[in-house]
Amino acid sequence: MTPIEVFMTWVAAILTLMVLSFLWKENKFYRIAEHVGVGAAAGHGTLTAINSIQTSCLNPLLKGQLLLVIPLILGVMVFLRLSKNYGWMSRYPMMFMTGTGIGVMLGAIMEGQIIGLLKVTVADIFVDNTFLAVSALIVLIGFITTLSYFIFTKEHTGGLGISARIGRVFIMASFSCNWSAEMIYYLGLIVSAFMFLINVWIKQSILGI
Amino acid sequence: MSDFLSKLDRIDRRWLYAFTIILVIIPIVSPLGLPVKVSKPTRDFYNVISSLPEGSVVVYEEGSISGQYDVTRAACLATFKLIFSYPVKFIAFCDSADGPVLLKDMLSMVDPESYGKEYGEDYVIFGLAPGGETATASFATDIRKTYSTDLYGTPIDEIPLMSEINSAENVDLIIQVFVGCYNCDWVVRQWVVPYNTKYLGITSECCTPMIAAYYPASCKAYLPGTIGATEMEILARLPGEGATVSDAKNLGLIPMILFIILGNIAYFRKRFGKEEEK
Repeated sequence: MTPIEVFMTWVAAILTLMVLSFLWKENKFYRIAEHVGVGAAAGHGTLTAINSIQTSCLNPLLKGQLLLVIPLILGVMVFLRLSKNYGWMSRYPMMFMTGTGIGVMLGAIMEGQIIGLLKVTVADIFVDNTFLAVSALIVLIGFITTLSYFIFTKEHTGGLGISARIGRVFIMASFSCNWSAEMIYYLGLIVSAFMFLINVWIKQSILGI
Repeated sequence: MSDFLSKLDRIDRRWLYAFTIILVIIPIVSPLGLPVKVSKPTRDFYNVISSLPEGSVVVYEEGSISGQYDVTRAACLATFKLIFSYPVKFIAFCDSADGPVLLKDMLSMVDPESYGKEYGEDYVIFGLAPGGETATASFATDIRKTYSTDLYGTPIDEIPLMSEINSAENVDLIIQVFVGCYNCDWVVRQWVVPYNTKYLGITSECCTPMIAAYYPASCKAYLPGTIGATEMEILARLPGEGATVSDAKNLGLIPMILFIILGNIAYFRKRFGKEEEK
């Protein structure tokens, strides 16, 4: 490791330990590390954004792509929100961004996220593989009963009540699946932090292994 | 027993942290090599890449962030190693601000040149395309309108690899790394539905339920965080960091599962005990 790498490893290790100190209790060291993290992320994000504006807008604009002046002006208008008198003008770029976003998204929602998935589910019920067919049937039942849980225009009694109750079981199963995935994810972050501390900081930087 | 359970109900949460940390550290210091079964999504992931015809174009969309880099890195590294071992073209772009830094870091670890790949001829990296799904759609529709230069400032028309590639129609496979759990919808809506492009996903464990819904219809396969990375390393015989992380995770989960079970026993015992008293 070069001296600068050793120095940066020490900085990272100390910041990691400061963050981990939160496990003991809330403290000033944790707060400092948290603020450093937020500040660094904000600084890096700003620089990347400026660089992106330069490469995707300013440079081509200077080379003669004059139409790019329109998104540039719209981008500047977003910051007028900070002005009391001209704040209303920031609504126009917001309108463009929202409209474009929704327009881009809507086109394929039905095909990609509803019809496509339903088609596959229904088709799988009729395949030769019993396991696949039963799984697909469970998914279909889960889909219909979960949807029925969200019908609020009719009281959940009788057939709809039974369906909604089954739907609630599927929703809870889904929540538990998401929660366990979340738990494994956070554990992964802890593992990574300790891998860095042991393999990089202690072994490489301190012991020179 | 009752006394033990009531004590358990009041146990300091720091004991749980301590047990977890101890169990996590053991495999990091001394790898255990616990058995891992390769799942079908990982096997499919491997098969899709290894069956790509020579000269295929692979687009890689980097959407990870530095805070979640540790979770996705092992899977990305295993994927890069696999891709670069085949005669395919590789085009990477970023939809997150941290993407370019992470991408450069990972490529420096893999070293495409050691696989005989040449920058500009066999692989190219583009920087940040801000705008989320709009950027994904823009890249699929017209790469030249999304980027005028690569990450290092070379004009796109001067990059040999890009001479005949300008949209999703020229792409055979897209691999997306995402940590915003619903970002997999972007590729499904902007690449799979309009262009029928093959789609592979790499994500963190917590976003896996979202992409699993698209498998295998819209998403041909996916790697769920370090678990997927470990399986991939075993399947493709690529040594990496995934195995150690998985060992540590497996052990680290033990106290959590134990405390969930004991906590529930304590809770129900307390609840039913009160009802009996009434």
